[in-house]
Parts: sequence; C-alpha cells; structure tokens
Amino acid sequence: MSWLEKPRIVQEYLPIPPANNVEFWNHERIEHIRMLARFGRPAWVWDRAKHTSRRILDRIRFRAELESPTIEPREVDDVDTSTSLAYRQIEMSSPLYLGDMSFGALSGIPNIALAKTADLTGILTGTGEGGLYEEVRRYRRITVQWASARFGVDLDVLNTGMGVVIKIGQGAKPGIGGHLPGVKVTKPISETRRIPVGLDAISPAPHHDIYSIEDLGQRIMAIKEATGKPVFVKVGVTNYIAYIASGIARMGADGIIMDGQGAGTGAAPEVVRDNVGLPIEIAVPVVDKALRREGYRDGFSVIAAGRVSSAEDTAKLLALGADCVSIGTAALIGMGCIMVHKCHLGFCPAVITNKIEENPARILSLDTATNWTVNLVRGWTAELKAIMDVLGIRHLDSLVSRRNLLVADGLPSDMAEIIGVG
Amino acid sequence: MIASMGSTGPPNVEEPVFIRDHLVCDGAQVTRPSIDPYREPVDTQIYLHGVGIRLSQPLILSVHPDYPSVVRRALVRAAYNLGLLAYIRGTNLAAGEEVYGGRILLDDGSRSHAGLGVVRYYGHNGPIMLKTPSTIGLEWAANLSWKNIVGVIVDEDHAGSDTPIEVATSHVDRMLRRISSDGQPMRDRITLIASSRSIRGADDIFKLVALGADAVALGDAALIAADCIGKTPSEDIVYERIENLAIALQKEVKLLAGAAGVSSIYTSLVGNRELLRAIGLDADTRARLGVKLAGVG
Amino acid sequence: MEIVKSGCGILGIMRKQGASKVRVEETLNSIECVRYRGSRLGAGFAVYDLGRKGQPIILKAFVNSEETVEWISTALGEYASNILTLGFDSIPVNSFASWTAYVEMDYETAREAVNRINSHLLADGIKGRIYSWGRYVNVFKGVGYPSDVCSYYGLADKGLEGDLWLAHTRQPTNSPGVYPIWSHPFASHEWAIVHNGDVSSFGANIEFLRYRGYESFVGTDSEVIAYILDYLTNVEELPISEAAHLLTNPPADGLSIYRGACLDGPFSVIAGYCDGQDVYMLALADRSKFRPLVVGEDDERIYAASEEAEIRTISAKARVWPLSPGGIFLASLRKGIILSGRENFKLFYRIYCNHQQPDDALDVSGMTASQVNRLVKKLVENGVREIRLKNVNGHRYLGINIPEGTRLHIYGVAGNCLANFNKSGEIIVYGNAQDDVGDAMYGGRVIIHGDARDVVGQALQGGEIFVRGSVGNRAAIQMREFHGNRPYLVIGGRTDDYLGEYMAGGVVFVLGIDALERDDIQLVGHYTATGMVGGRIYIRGEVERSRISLNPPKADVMQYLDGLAKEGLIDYAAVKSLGEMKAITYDDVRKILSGEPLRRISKLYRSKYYKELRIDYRMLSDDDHGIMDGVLKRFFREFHFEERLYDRLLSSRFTVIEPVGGSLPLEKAEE
Repeated sequence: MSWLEKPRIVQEYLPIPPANNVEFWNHERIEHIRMLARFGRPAWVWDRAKHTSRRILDRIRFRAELESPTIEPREVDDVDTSTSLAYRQIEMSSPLYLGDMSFGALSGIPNIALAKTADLTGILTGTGEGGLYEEVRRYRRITVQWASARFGVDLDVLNTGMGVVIKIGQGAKPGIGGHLPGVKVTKPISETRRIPVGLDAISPAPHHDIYSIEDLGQRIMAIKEATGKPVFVKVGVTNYIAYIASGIARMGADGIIMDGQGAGTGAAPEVVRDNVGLPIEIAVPVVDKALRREGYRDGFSVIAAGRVSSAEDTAKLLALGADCVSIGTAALIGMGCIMVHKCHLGFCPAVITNKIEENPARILSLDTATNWTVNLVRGWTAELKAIMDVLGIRHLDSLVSRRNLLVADGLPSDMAEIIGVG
Repeated sequence: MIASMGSTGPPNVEEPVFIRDHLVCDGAQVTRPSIDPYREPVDTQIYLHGVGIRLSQPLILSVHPDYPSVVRRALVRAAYNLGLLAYIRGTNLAAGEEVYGGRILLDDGSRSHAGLGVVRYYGHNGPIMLKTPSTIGLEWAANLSWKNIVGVIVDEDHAGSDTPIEVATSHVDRMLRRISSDGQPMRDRITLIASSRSIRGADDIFKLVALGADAVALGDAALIAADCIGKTPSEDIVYERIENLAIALQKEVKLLAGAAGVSSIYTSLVGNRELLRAIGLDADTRARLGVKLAGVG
Repeated sequence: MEIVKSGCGILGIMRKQGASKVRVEETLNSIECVRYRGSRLGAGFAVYDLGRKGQPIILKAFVNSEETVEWISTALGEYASNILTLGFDSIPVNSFASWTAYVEMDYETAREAVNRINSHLLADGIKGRIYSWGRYVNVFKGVGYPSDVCSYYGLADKGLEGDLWLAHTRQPTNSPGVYPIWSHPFASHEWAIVHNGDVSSFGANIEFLRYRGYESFVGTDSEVIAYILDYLTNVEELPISEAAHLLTNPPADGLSIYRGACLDGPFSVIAGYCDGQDVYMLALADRSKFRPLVVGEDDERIYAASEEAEIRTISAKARVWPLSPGGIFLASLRKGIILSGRENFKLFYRIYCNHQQPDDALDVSGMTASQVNRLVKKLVENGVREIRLKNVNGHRYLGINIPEGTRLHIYGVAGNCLANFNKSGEIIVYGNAQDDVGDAMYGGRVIIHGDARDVVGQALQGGEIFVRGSVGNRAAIQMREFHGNRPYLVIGGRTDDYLGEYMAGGVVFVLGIDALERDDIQLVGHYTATGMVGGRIYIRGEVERSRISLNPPKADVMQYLDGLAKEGLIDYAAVKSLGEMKAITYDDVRKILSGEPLRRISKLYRSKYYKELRIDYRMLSDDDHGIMDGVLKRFFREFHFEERLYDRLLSSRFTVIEPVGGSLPLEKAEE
C-alpha cells in the first residue's frame, strides 16, 4: 500500500441521525450504549428507554423496580456475575456472548475487536458463518460456526476455539440461510469462503443433511466425534420452539442459542424479517419450563438473543429462564453503528459492515473498537451487578429462572400466563 | 426486498394496524426443513373452480373505479400476462379490454343473488361468485341453492362489512367446510377469495391464505407502485412497475412459504392456521381465527 | 390439541407367497439395529395375518383406569352384537395400560363407534384411546425401546408370527411423560402406518379430515396419514395406488376434491393393509426425498426400511434400492411387488461387490459407532496402515480424519456421515454406503463398491469420491474448489434430483455404465445444476433440457407468451412452437424471441441470484480429456473395468453443464 492510499482510521462516533421512522434502537438507547462504551462504567440501573418501546419484554417488570424506581448507578463489588456454559465446560465472567456475526457481514476489524474483547473480558464470542479470519484465529474465547453452506470450515477450523455452533437459523429470518450480498463478496471473502467474486453468497435454507431431529443428533455426534468440543445449536424462535429445544437437548447438544424475532442481520428479505418468528421473551420461559419438566435443564445452556438492549433486558431474560444473553446489534452500536439499515449495500458509514476491500479508504481503528467493546462489556456487567444488588441476589446462578421476581405490566393475562409472570 | 438489521415492523416495534399485524408465521427448523425458493421449486399456483382457470399465484389485481385509466389498463394487461385475474368493479369493460377477457372478474353491480352481490368471470355465462361483505353474520348461506355458484368473495370494502377481513375469511372458510353436498364439504367446490383495499403485500396475502382464502385481491398497493399521482408516467412505465410488483410479490410469497417448509401452496397452505401464531390478540379473536397464541406449541 | 413432534426409524417386512411366516424376532432384530434413530420414549409393532378371515375385530385401547374400561365396554355394547373382553395385555407404563376385546361389528359401525368413543376419551384430559381395530391387524405399542415394547406384550414368548410386520422406534422432541397414544403404528380400519417425518401440511390435512367424519386427533401428523389412507380407500373406495398418489404428489390439474389429502414436507411412510383377500405393504417417500427410505427383496421376503442396515441385519443377499423422490412402492402377499417405487431399478441397483470379508478383519458386529471409531483411532495412533473392519452395518461417522498413507477397508454397509471432514487417506467400502458421504471432505479418497444414498459430497472441497453404483438426491451439492484443490465425484450409475445444486467448483461425472446400451434412459433426475455458480458436470448421453435448472411452470410461460402475442410483439406461430415442448427452458425461449419480448419474459426465468448455464451435448474435446483422463482411469482401475469399456465411454457424447463464463481453469489433472 503506497502512502498515497493509506486508509483513514476512524476513531470517533458519527453523530446519531434524527429518526424518520419508528425505530427500536432509538436515540436514547444508542446514547446509553455509547456512554457505556466510552467509559466502561454503569450509566443506568433500570433501563430508561424501555418506556419508548412496545416489546412484550418492556411490559414485564421487576417487582423490585416498582418498589424502587429510581436508583442511581454505582459500582457494586460483592456481586458475582460469573457463570459457566455447556455443562460447566466454559467459564464466563459475565453472562454475555458477543453474537455470531461473520467475517463478511462485518468488515474485518470489528470481527477482531469482538474476539479480542472476549479474551480480555473472559466472555465468549461467535465468529459467525464466514469461516475463520486469520487475525481472529489467535484469540481463544471464540466459537466457530457450522452453517448450511459450510463456508470456510474444515476440521482444523472446527478444532479452533472453545466450541462449535451448528447454525440452523437466526431470528431475523428463520427458515432462510445466511446471505452475503454480491457487492460484499470481494476477493478476500471469495478466498475465505471459496466462492466466485461478486455473486451473492446465499447459504441454503436448511442443512441438507439435517431434515429431522434425529439428523441433527447425527450431526452433533459427528462433530463431537471429530473435535471433542462442546456443541451449541443456534435457532430462530419459531412456533414450535419448545419442541425444538427439547429435541436439541436430548440429542446431545451442550446448549441452545435462541435468536428472537427482531434480531439484527446483515441481509434478509424484508418480508421474512418482519413476519416470521416470535420474540425471545416468549421463547425463554417456555423453553426453560419444557426442559425442566423433561429433566434436561441442568447444565444445558440456554442463550437468549434478539433485541437485547440493556442490562435490565439481560436480567429479565435470565430471570425468565436463560443462562446467558447474546448481543449483536448492541455490540455494533458500541462500535459506532447508527442504524442506517443498509448493511447489505456494503457502504456502512461507520465502517463496520462495509464491504471488505484490499485498499480501503477508511478503516475502523482496532484499538478504539476494542476499547469501546471492552468498556461496553464492563459497563453492561456493572449495570447488571447493580440490578442484582437491588434484587438482593449475590450470585448470577441464583437469578436464572426466577420468574417470581417479575410481574406483568400491561400484558394480556393469557400471554402473562404463557410466560409465567404474575 | 432485502433489508438489514432488526425488524421495525408490527407488532413489536411499529404499532399494529390490522389483525394480521398481530400474526406471525412459522419458520421450519430442525423437525422439518425449510425450502430454498432460489434453487428448489415452491408451487404457488391456485386452481379456480368451475371455470378451468389456473392462477400462477394466489393474487388477484383489483381495479377500482377511482383508479386512473393508465393504471387500470396496466392492471388488466399484467393480470393476463402473469396468469392472474383482474377484478374490475363498478363499471363494465372498457374499450380494448375484451381481448383480455379470459382473465377478468367483473362486478358491474348489475346482478344479485339471494340478496348478495354477484361477480362473474367475464365470458362465462353460467357460473357465478357471490360477494359478501366482511361479516360473520352469514344467515344467507343456510338455505342457499349452491347450484352455479363456484366461488365466494369476502370483500371488506363492501357495504355492510362489520368484521375485520381476517376473521370473516376464516369464518367463511370454516362455514363452507361444514356445509356438505353429496358427502363432500362445500368448500371443495368453492373458491374463496379475500378482498380489501388495505392489502399491502405478500405477508398479508400469505396470512389470509393460511386463514382460508384461495386467493387474495391486492389493495391500493398497485396504485402506489404505479406512482402516477401528480405525475404522468408513460403507459409502458406504469405497466412495468405493476408487472414488477406482481413478480416481486410472488417471490416474497415463495420465501414465506419456503421458510415455513411448504412446497405447494394450493394443497398445503390454504387454511393451514397451524402455521400462524398470534401476539396481542384476545382469546375470542384467536378462537374466531383458529390461530393459537404465540408460545403454544 | 397439543401438537407432538418426533423423528424415527421405520421398518416393514412381508413374506412372499409360499415362504415361512415372518417371526417377531426377525422384526425386532432389524429395528433394534437402528435403535439410535429412536429412543426409549416410544416404539411399536403391527402384525397382519390373512388367516384371520371371518374372525371378530380385535379392538385395542389404552386406558387410564377401570372406569375408562367400563365406559368403553358400555359404549361398545351399543354398537357390537358380541364382545369378548380379553383384558389387559401389557404392563402399565406411564399410567396407561393396553386393553383388548374381540367385537363382532361390521366396519361401518365400528368406524362410528371408534370415532365416538375416541372423541369422548379426549374430551376432558386424556383418558385413553382406541388405537387399533381390525380383523387382520394387531398393533402392539408403548413407551420404551422396541425390545422393551416387545417384552411388555410378551411377543417373543408367544412366538408371534404373521404375513407382514411393521415396526417403529420413536424419537420424540418433547415430553417424557410421553404417553403410548403417541407411539406408532397408527391404525384405522385395517390400515396401520409407521412414519418418519414432520409434514408441513398438517393443518391443512386436519381441516380436510375434520369435516369428513374424523373428529378426534391425538396431535401427530402420523395419525393423520393413517386417517387419510383409511378415508380414501375405505370410504371413497379408491384403489391403493391412487390414494398413495394423492398423498405424495399434488394432483396434476389441481381441481381435486382431495387436495387436503396431499402431504407436504418430509415423510417416509410404511403402511400395511388387508382387504380380506390379500395383505399389502405400501411405502411412500415425499417429493423432495427429505427422509431416507429403501426397499428390497430376497427369495423369501420383501422389505421396506429407513436404512439399508435394517435389511442387512436379516438378509445379506437382498437386492436393496432406494425409493425415488415421491416414489410409491406397493407389494402384496399374493402378487409380490406391484409398484417398485423406482423405474429401472433392476438395471441400476445390484450387488456390485463380490469381495469376501477377510477372516482377519476386525469384527464390529454389536459395537456402537463410537466404539468402532475409538478402535480405529487407536489403531491409527499405533501406526497401523491397513485397517479392515467387517460386519459393518449402518455404523456412522466412520472415516473422519484418516491420516495420509492409511487405508480403512469397510466390509458391509457404511452408515451415515462416512468420511465427513476427512482430508487424507483412503476409505474403501465393499458394499453400499448410506446418506451424507464426504460432507465437507477436503482431501483423501473414498471408493464405494456399491451405491450411496442422498447428499453425497456436500461441500466437497478436495480429494475424490468414486461410487460404482448410483446415488440419490443432492449429490455434489455446494461442491467447491480453491487454489489447485479440485474435488472429483465420479458416479458409475445414475443420480436423482438436484445434482450439483449450488455447486461452485470441482468436477462431477455421471457415467451410467450399466446402461451403455440404452439411450432412452435418463441418468439424472430433475433440477440438475440448480443454482450452479462454478465447476462442471459431465453426464453421459443426452439429458432432457427440462431436467436442468429450475424452470418456471410451463403454464406461466405459455400465458405470458400469449400475452406478448396479444400485444403484437411476437406472432402466434412462435407461441405454438414453444407450446409443443414438454418444458420450456430459457434457451428455448432465447432461440425464438429477442429484443423487448425477450427482456420481458426473462423476468420469469432470471433473478439476480441466477447464473446462466451453458449446456452442450457433444463429444469430448482435448481440454475435457485433460480434465477427465486421470480421474476416470483411476475410477476404472478401482472397479476393474475393461480397457475397451473405457474407450467406449470416452467416445460417447456427453452433456456438459457449467455456468457461462465457467470458472474451471483448464489445468491438466494429475495422473
């Protein structure tokens, strides 16, 4: 690269544009995440943006909040957010999983930042469907993904990292495979994924060797035979999520990652994104109950994803029955995303999901992105600790599946009953 | 058609407007495979009773009297070329339209049967379709002679509509299944069509088919696609836009069907309420639709 | 109604006229060999005995209490002229016991009685269910593995035998408080079925049945299939083959009053039926062949099974072939095989392998797949270079990670997922393989002296796979290549649908060696090369163009052409000539149309994800030879074909398919 073509390094947030349309990730939420990412300290205790949205999750509240609605954020020392996943094979300092976003969906530096953050903070990140980027490989706390197209995955890749995620589906488009638009299939991607340049990389809708529950069991066993590592299965939340989760647990997986409707994506057909799938807050309690009833819950990890926007969301999902949450969009916002919703075109103004070029004009600063993400994790965890403190819970495992801490607030009673809150 | 990042649609972000905004569709995972409409076949054809007409997809293009004539012409032509139907209301055929008569449903308001409006397939003299407002008060059905009747259109824009189209469609579908003739449910001889000017796109179409309709008449979406309010685009451009709209709708319907693991809409999607779930609808409405609450397996 | 989902293993064994009756032990051994497909949460058997003509109906019910038994007896009393209660015939498990009675009723009365009783039993919680009623069929099912269910009913002790046995082992995805009412087989009026799959048309099928006299559903799609078969054959009196056709394929003109009877989504079904004159075994596969299903026969028996291994457990010499996608297999005691489920099966599905199992090979019978793999791993670590396994029967995941210079010899039936992720070494199967051979394999060699089933070489990225016989659906799907690493897949027989789907590199050969004399036989199924973006496929002989890629329905194309003619953009002669073709491909359209009409009709064919294919039917050129010679010579050597055959083959004409602007650099293949 000649000095004339040296890329400009981006180290600052873009101003948040004014909202034209209804948006979940509104000004307030973006500002809050940026605050955490800048300073790594708690900014809120109770989520101050939840009154701006209509999710079912926003109509579920902690009883403790109704009793003490205004609490100033503070660092809390004597609360332990550590936990373990996959039948206690993976230790986590905090119940945060930086969600599976591929090399290709993201433009490289963000992928490295996520992996580095996981190592530095003792959590876990998923490397998504694009194979393993060289720079990411050297970090330890990563999972690799086995998806329908098997892009860039071989036995060596499967043996890297702390676990394998079999991706069946994702919340933004259950029933549809991964999609990297042609404009983003540049030479580096073409090499990693071994597909022609410029043509959309559309992964098949199903795994063509997994058409039934016993087929999934077969694939889980095959991967375990080959690698000996913990295997997670990632699915979007659909009508029969309870059966699917039971089946996954029975078939020998170590955990499930459930991605609810509303989750982010690099590219999805709009009609599917807006109409298929259920929210994560319905899936978590229904699955938790089903697994407990069948004796499969203990040690099996339930990881919840899909519009997780704050520590309070995290605490609620854990109380509803999850062991851990996965954040995708929130992490990208921490790196500067301003929700332009045009990732599929490859011209991300925040240089996060832009197409990967050999001579880019701008790149995100790795150090800055990593700092932001590390701070985000720290600040988020600190807020979680503050919430746990108010709830009187000292250890994270005691928060899991404590639906009695929650109460419905403006939720129809039959929905409240399904979810299991009073 | 392709979007990025999380959904901003109803009912979880945007305010839901219609009942169907509270309905979500299933995605096939693990227990059965979803189908890739880019590489594998998803049949969208629909067969209409009594007239030997096959629709290429469960879509009918509505023509309302207030549409500009350039839009009307484009709709009639596109319906013909793409194997659909043009549903013309309020007037008779215009000059030049008879050549496309094989694919026209005509509702000129001239006839009635048992107190209901009659819609006929242009060029077919015997068989007729009954047009009912969107309602669950269907006393007329009890003692009707079904001879010559090959279809029922539930029309939310018709006077006397007092129920949302989703509920009325589901209700009529089930009613027709309960009435039998020669030991076979009437529904197997009758085509059911849902019509409303509020039908926006493929998701609305998919959901109404799942609630029991064989085909859905598109609302003003075509008018919006034509984009000729305050402007005067050429005939060809308007046609092109409408044709592209219809083709895009078929692709989207295939995506939704494939995502749910359905490869043949006519046999497997029509009336398949099991593929839908409801969020934020009361128990009574859900019962009328026949749709379960989200979270129930 | 609660929905209940499951996956499974299925089996059917019928005796041939004159052969000895099928014993329960045969059935049990066979279904137990695919125990891993099921679980201890449900299993069942059904047995048919034509000799029971004139006998009363055997009626069996699950009951949760004495009160329920009382109620059922009383209710039956209103319908039946004579009831002989046999009492309970199984150990109660999960709070239900099985109760049997012999009743004298005609079928129509029985149907009404069963419907009414079952509706009542489910009206307020689950009190029980009548799960089998018929003169010739007797169902035994419960909660447990097949061997457990067998012992609950004492079937082996009773020395039970019959003309036809069905068996099932269930893998439910929910609830351990699982009740036996959800186990298979599901029966209705002499029909009994076992099913593997999860149909997506379930809601539509329920609507179809609900207003036709079936009001009581336990919540599984499997039961719905039994009801549909019952309704079509016994109430509507359709012949079995016609009923079967309605289930597997949507009716051609669409206007059938039975459209709600069509099944969609994955299913393999094995069903038994008796009409008093003959006993039938029916096997069905869905149109996309999403579930495995093989059938077979030897001198004494006719078989249907999820996996070949089940058949091999009882018959080493049976000819076994897979059902074609959407295929229907029908056989009867008196007539033998009526519908074979696949055209030309005798031409392609034979036993190619005459290799004897060596005495010094390691006997893996009775071992689990894990045990075998650990054994192999140990041997590899100890530096053993030639590893021989015998009596392999459906063992899965063999051959992952074989080191360079090592050869794994497999005698028997290699189970699913052979050579997955493998990158070196050689794996040789003396027999057939099953599904998913060489998935994500990127080096090494796999040689199969027999057939393979579906999804061979998915995402194959290096090395070579040679199959002497034929393969099923989706061979070479997503095959890829990069930087001098080019994979090869050579198939000696034929393939089914979706060959080379979304292929991005590598070379596939389909040779049809056993059909060299026949140029009327198509060597591939439909949707060949759909979504192909790279690589190349060579198929001997001329492939019907309609079998390549995904074309829009002909009716849609004809309609649009008619519209173009009406607009005066093309003439009716063009419409007529295209109308005469069996299917209209984009190539066909392009030969006749141009300019604006072509641009418009292209919208039906193309999308931004579609890459145009170049299809030639031609003799092989020097460049082709450069690509093929090395690989094909190796293929011929492996299977000991004659030199003459090789020359004959290479002087044939081939259909060559690749994307336009093909991505296959013409490097010479290594010798």
